[in-house]
Amino acid sequence: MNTTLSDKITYEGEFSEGTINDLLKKIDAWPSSLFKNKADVKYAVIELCSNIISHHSSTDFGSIIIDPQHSVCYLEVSSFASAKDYEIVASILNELKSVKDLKEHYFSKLERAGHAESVQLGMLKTYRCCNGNIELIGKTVASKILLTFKLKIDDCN
Amino acid sequence: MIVIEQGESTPYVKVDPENYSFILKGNSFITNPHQFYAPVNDWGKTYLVKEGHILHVEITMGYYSTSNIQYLNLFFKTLINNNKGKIEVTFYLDEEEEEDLEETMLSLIFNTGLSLNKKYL
Repeated sequence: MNTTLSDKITYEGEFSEGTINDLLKKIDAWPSSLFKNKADVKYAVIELCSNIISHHSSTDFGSIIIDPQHSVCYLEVSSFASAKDYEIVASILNELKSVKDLKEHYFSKLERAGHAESVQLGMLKTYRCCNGNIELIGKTVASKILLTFKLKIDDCN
Repeated sequence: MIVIEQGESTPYVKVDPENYSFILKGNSFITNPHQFYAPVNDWGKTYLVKEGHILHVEITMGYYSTSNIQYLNLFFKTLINNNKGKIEVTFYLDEEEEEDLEETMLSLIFNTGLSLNKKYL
């Protein structure tokens, strides 16, 4: 099935929990014939947008594109961050590449409560939603980094 | 009694100790769970179920962020550890969403000693 203009979701501006809620409602409204694996898209949206609001961003401004195609959903989330936060996120994603059992890793992180673990858990959940099909791009704009996550989420069979 | 109405990113919460009932219903992805759940956490840290009674925790599942799961798991560990054998947790969910929500349910009660008890809506 081809994506129609109404299936593709885009947003640019201030992010809030209300923004996340609106995005989840729009994903829920997709016909299941278009993309069945809505859950992984929703979890990734929750984690990445929460990052914009709370974790790494220096402002709540950002953008998101959610583009469901046949058998894959492309997700692109951008926001501004400090160079240090970019390094932290890049380091977490790099470490995850060598983890053999991501589920076990998730529960071992859950055991330890703390802000650092919270950031790692969020990235880990995102990483698992797209089976590691995630690309992190950092582009210097003035004194900040424009951080972009590009994900490919497979549909379920 | 604590009652918090459902919000855009927060669940409906009802804590009714007199009737040994604790209800959570809906999504939970608030960016500051410490602040939102503070009244519930304050209650849970010191609450002791009276002998011969069971506190029934009913969670109607929604989508949770990992930071909210992390916070609530710690809360349930404390509550259940302080009231061994006196807490019963039941998850309510749509059968169609079972696979999507299974890990969240397991995460909420991780290391509490409780097994997963779920019922379909």
